[in-house]
Amino acid sequence: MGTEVIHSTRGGADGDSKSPLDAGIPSFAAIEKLVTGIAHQALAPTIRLAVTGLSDSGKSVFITALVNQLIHGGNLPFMGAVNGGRYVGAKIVDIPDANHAEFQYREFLSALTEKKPSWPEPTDATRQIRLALRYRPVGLVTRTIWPIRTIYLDIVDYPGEWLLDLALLGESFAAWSKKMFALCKEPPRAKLAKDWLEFVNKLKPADQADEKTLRKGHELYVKFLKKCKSPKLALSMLQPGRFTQPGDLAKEDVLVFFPCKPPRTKTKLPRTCIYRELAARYEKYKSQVVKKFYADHVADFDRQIVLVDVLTTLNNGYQSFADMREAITTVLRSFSYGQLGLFKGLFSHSIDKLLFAATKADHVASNQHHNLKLMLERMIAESARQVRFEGTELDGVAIASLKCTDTVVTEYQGRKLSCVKGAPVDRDKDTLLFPGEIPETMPTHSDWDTNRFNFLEFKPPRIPDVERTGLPHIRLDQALEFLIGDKLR
Amino acid sequence: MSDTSWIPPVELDPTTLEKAPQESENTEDAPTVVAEAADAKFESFLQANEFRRLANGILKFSEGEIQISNVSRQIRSKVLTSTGKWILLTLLGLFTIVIVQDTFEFLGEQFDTHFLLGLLSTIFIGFIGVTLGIAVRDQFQGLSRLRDISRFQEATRPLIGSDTHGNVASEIARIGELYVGRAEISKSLRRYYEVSEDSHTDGELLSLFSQHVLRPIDDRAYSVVAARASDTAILTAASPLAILDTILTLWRNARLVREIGQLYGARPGFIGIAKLLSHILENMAVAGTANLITDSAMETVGGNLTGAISAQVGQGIANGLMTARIGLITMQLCRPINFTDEERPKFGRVRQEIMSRVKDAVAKRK
Repeated sequence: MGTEVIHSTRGGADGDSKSPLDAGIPSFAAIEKLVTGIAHQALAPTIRLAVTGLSDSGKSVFITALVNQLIHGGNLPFMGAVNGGRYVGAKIVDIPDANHAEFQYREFLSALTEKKPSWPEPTDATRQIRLALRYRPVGLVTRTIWPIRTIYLDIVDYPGEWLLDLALLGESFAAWSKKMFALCKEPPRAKLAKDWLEFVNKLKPADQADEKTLRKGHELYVKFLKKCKSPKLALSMLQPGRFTQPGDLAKEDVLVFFPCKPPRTKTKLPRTCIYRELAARYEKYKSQVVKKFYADHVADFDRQIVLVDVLTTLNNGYQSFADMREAITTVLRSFSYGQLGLFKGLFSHSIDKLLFAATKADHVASNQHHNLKLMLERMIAESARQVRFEGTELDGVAIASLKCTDTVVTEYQGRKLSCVKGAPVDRDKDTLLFPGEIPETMPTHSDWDTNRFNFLEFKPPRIPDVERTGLPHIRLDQALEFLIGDKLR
Repeated sequence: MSDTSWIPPVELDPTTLEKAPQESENTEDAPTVVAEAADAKFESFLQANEFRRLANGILKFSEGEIQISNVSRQIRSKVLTSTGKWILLTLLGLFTIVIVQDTFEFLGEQFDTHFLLGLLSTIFIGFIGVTLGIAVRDQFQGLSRLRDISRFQEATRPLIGSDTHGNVASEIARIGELYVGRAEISKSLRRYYEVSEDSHTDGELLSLFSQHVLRPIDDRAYSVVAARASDTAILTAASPLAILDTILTLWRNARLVREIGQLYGARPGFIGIAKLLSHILENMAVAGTANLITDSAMETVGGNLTGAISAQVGQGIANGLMTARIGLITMQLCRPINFTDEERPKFGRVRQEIMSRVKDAVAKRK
């Protein structure tokens, strides 16, 4: 019976939604891990920073810039430790876990700073980097014990698409399918999903499953997702994430499924029917792919920064804006927040500081940064309330990991316009662009005119002497102060 | 701006508009923001604020720490009422006439006696005249610098911590001019211009300037306050006469005020110091500082020192603490950008240093 299937999958999903370490009495291995963890934390304290962001929000560039700034050290005037002269320096050290690939900091940095600078390719795998930060402690006691203290900062880079998979952990196949179909009813998805919807509507889910049909449905669904992802629309709420960014699973069978409506029969469905086969594959995807990602990269973080590309959504109109808001809310539900309680802290980490950052702030003139921040706050208002309720400290900021433009005030048709000056990605020469002003209040539906904003992507700036000057940035120091400033005391 | 009147995006050719960006790049030290709007604002501000006295707020105490609240009270000269001013001016005029006439008569007499004597006298008197002129000019310069500083304070006060853009860059450049020619500060000024960017808000720029340029000055001012205050404490403790106490304290305080003013680039002359002191006393009167000082002195002197030191030493410490308070208030009056709550001078920091210095001095004498 259909209902039975739903029930059983939901039961499994509930267990899944918890962190793996939460379940039941801790095993011996877990206790051992905990003890070594505590010992390690005392001797070599580690901050695990989650750099979260949907695809194309600038995670790789952010991490590259952050590492560069921390190593350089002279370009962060708003970081308390730097400002107080207590910051000694940073160094990249080997990651202890050999299973993870190392973040290609040097490659990215040289790509950003060479003669013909270029932005890094989209990330297709998880990569990690570990920094050793050294500082002089403030406290009298700590100062006496450690004149110079070392603290480790772990950062993980991963494809932003995969984040949306985390929400699947709490959803059954039936519930997820229902949600996807609901999304496909609304424009602009309705038009893009036409081919796939036609196929699914013809499909009889109670029929015997055969690989060819499943593959066909899967391919049509992936095609639809990729259309949604095209830069013209830039929709964010695209599940499952591995479909648009498969990473190392490109050819695996575990990916072959798609949302499907439950059949309207009262008889018990055979195990091999299309619907139950799809549901089984969905569960397999969850347990083999998503859970692993969760355990490896999401479960234990102390601090989190969520990068949001507000400007692109403004470029693309209201639907893109609303879609991204939905995606962020979905993603944030998968992280655990709150102050570390006595027992809560023993068995799993939780994030006690969360920073929302509107990236690419250099695409607008600097007098717009305030409004950009307001826009960001409006976008995240709902998730922010949830997170605050858990007792997590939360803030919003407009940043640019790598500042590519200068703000220039010009006179144009008798008005003073604050423009940005820089070279757009598809051109060689500098341009002077007035990209439109970010409104202080939320534009009404009819006001989301497509001609209202023209935010261009810019080339990385040509910096003659990176070793000496470091990369230019906007408010990266304030972001860092919020995220790790209290750990450098 | 309202939603219905937005400006559509437009792309311009940078080559035809090279003029505006170039201007900002020409001045090497100035930030890259084109500060025309701010300039106009500054001009109108100057016009509106001519001939104002040093502005200051009301003083209030919270747990032994000085806070000058940011209530801007424009105190017009109360010392001289308009009639008083006229009488004084007339007297001054008469006095000048008498002196000039006397000088001429005197010179004439000298020339009558002998030509060389006359020449020599003329040279001497001329010399005195020039020196006097320079002194007067210095006084006025000092006064105008003090006025500048209070203008800077007023202009930047509403912008501390604000999210606006483009109002403060030119103001900071002007403040920087106070420190031209001072090697130790020009280095930190250069550092400030290195770290400041066109993307920083007004509040951020002010905080950067405070951190990089003013904080080193604050630190030096602190140590000056501590040194002068403990000098006062030790000197008055050692002096046998009460009248000597008063004179010593006044002298040390005047010197302290001048030194701190110089540190912040105010360079107050004699009149400037008198003016500052009158403000400081006004501030102290408002708060009824005297009581508080005695209290804190009693509290700190209590403990292990009670048996060891005489009433005279206690008096000395009280005087020292008074000097310290004067120093801290002077810091607040002379700093071109107001202290934020975190930066505000802490009395405790100075008090401990004074106490330990006095204890050392007393111990040495015994």
